[in-house]
Amino acid sequence: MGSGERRPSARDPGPGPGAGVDRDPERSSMLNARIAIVATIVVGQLWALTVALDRYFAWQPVGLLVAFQALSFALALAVWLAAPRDR
Amino acid sequence: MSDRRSTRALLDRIREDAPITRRDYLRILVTVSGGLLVGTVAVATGVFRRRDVDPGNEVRIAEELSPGRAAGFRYPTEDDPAIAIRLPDGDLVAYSSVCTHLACAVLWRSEHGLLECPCHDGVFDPRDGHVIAGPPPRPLPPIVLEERPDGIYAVGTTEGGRRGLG
Repeated sequence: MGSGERRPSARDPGPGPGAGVDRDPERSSMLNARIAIVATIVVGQLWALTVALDRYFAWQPVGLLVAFQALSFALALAVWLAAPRDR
Repeated sequence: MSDRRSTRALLDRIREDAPITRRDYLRILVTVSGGLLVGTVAVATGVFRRRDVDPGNEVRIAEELSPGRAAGFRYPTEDDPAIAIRLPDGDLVAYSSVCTHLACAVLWRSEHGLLECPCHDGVFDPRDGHVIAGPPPRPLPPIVLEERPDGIYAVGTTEGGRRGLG
């Protein structure tokens, strides 16, 4: 860059004041909480699937685990549908 | 319609390696949750068959078994070794004789009153097939027997809580 030239940063000074700051912290926290809840549900479902496979290979019934999975999915869906603006 | 559009937008973002938003994560997690439900239903309904099912499959094991004695047989197919045992108290039980650890043959030790796998010292309770000792992760799969005037028959497994499925 020669002398007298304007530095690029002078033309493009970057984000203005307040950029990157959460403008709706409550809504943001709710979204984080919903992600945490659904992630926990999915972990539980993974565990249930391993137990179901285990029981299946031992020729044992797995009906209760299917009910658990259905309930978990219904709960995850409810948590997802709970906030229409954040889907 | 809007759901389809938003799904397409999500796929486009993933394809473009663009940052995935927290809402996308939530949507992906809910989809995974649904997938896990479908997978479990598939397991429960027997989509992943261990073997061909023949509901009318019956095999005559022996004419009779005296207390403390065992008889080997194959059930539900010729590729499935199994063992029937007359317990000292007179109860008749049968299990797959394939060890649930590494598929060695499980043997009846009448002197110990236990089912034992000699490969890695797995021990099973002959009363209900559960693991007493050793590395096997699961109980032995039970086989349903029937005593008839002309002998002892294997008539089914307890797969899926139902009786009579081979």
